[in-house]
Amino acid sequence: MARIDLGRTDPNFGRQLCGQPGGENIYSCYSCLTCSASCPISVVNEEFSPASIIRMALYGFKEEVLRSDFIWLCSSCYACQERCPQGVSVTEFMTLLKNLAVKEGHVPAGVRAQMDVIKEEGRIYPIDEFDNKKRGKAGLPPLPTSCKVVKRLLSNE
Amino acid sequence: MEPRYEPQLTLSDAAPVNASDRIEGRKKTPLAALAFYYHSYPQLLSYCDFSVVFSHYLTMIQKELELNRVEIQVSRKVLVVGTGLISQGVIHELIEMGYEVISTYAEDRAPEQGHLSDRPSSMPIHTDGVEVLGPTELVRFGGDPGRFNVSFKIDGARLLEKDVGAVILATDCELDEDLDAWKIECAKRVSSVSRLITALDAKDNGLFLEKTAPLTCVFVCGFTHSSNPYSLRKAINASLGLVSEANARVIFLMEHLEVADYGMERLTHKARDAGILFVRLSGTRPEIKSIGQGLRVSYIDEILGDEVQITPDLVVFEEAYRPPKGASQIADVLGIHLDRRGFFQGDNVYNRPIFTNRAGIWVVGSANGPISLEEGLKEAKAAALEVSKLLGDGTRRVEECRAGIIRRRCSACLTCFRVCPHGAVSFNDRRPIFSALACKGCGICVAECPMGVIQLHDFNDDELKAQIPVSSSALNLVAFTCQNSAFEAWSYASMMGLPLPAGLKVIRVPCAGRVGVDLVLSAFKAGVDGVMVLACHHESCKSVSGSLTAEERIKGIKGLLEKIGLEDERLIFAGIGPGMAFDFVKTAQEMEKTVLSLGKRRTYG
Repeated sequence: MARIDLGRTDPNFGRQLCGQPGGENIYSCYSCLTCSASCPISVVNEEFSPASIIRMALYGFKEEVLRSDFIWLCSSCYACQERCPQGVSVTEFMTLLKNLAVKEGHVPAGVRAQMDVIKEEGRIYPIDEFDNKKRGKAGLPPLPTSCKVVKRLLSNE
Repeated sequence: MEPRYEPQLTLSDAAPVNASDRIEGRKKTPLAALAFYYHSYPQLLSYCDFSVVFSHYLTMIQKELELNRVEIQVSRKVLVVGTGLISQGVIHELIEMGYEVISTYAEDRAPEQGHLSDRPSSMPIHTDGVEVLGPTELVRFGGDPGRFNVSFKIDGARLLEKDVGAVILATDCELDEDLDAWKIECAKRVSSVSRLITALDAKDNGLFLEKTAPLTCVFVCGFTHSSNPYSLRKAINASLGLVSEANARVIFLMEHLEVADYGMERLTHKARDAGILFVRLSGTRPEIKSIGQGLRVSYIDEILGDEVQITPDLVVFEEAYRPPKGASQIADVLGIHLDRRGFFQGDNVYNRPIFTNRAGIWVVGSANGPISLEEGLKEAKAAALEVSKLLGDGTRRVEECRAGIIRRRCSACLTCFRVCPHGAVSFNDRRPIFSALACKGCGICVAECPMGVIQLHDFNDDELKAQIPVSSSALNLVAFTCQNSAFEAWSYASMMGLPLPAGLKVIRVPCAGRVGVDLVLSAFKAGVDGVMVLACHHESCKSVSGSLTAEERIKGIKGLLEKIGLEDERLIFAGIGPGMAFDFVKTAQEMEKTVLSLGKRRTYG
């Protein structure tokens, strides 16, 4: 059993999160675990639990939370937020954590790769002649194979 | 030689205190009584098959018409035991109603030292009409409601006697820091909630050591005792004080968040918004150890599944609420029950907030368990109202007592005095007096009296024995059913048309405690093949100890049966709740099966 020492935590992390959109109600959490019970990711990966992430954040484990892979596993299905009896915006809290993580420079490789592809190509999955032929057979209009306009947009940031 | 029982009960056989205690009786009109019962039992109108049940209720009406009225002079003095804010509230209400008060306390304790916050400035302290005695110890208590006689020990030796009409217990519970349970040596970093509040109020930072903000603070609520909303309120307010004064980071470790009081949910939200974290531990206790100059608190966080360690600057413990000092001695003298924890008021479901098992004695405030000042003052009002119902203007006109001595063979053995759960029996010159104001007509005294001299007016032996069926060739079963529980279950079962044994005769009794050796053996003597005594469950007995005494008695009678050649399975005792129609049927059918296997009895004559 790993020992957690609250001496290593940042006591202001919780209050910092409180003041940001998505984190407003996190202190209301009373650990009923309804979110974890309704989370589809939890079914596949037992270690993923929105309630533990909230608890870690409230304790002040800033580094552990922002560096972790877990926050990226959230599929944003909103099942937890719909069911939370205390009105915690669980999904939006995960989004907030993801944004903070990116600001700190912690992005999982897969997500960074997706980011790069979007910047380059404008979309994650390339559309080519093969896809357009299939669309033609189904009676659908073809899609443009390139989307460089997105690259131009993103390059102006 | 059959003992003869006079069917009519008159006061000349009971010992009146005063000849003028008796006046001409007034009878209810039958129509009014009938209307009353239809009003109380509307379901009678919607079922076709109620004729049997109806006839029972009709006999009930009949009996009520025959009781005489008596006039009883009662004292208008009320004894209020205890000091504290709630006892002040009680005295206030009683004085406003025009009663006199004798206020006693066990030790020198000024009202401000009560365990409740904020004394309302609108609560006056009365001096006129209030006799204050203290420090005193309650040593003797006798008489009946309206006419109690109390003896106090004053100054350690002198005995003082007072006559009062009623008693209200308003002693404060004790707060116990309970630190021994945690075995901590480092006293500097440890405090109780009360001490912390005092320090915060005095702006005394000595408690927070020399450390400057921010402070890490752990509050521990419960674990070695049950927490409650009132202590939690104090703890949360103290922690909010710490957050604002010392920029503290606070973590609460607790078993349950007790929010069952006004404004508590809102308070916990306020605490949460201030950044206070509530960690729930279900089943494990946090470990608190001294490490060098400091403390280490460790516990298993159930959400993370890992052990968490904290090195706090301050650990604050919630106090345990313990019964008032001297509670068991007071309960002993007054003849009232304590609950499992040692607070006043026994563990019976019929104990509404301020009532004890004795008429004329009430308990209010934290003497009964942790309570808020607001609720305690409401209880004080309620108790004062009950006093006014009992004492009135000093003269009470009531129906004569339902129990009484019918023959002069009383040997003053004091059994009735001891077994009455309501304290309705007192003694005057070797004759028992049954108090009309306290007697509930349960009949426990009737069954327990070794000389058989006590009878109940409406459930006397003649009437009950007359209901025992004459023996026939079919199977005869008799069920003595308590009117508060098993009888209701039987009515319910018959109305629903459930299959009951054909030879079952149900005899209604006021309480299973009424069923004594004589009744049971009379049934067997008449040739009955099986007897069932069906009562309330023990903690829901309306006569407090009726079902308990009945169960003990039936056990004893079963031993007797063997001696007279009867199988002891022919007699059973069972607890059946008022709604348990199906259980009634099951019990009756099982009894029928048992008795069938034993066979019909040989009868004589």
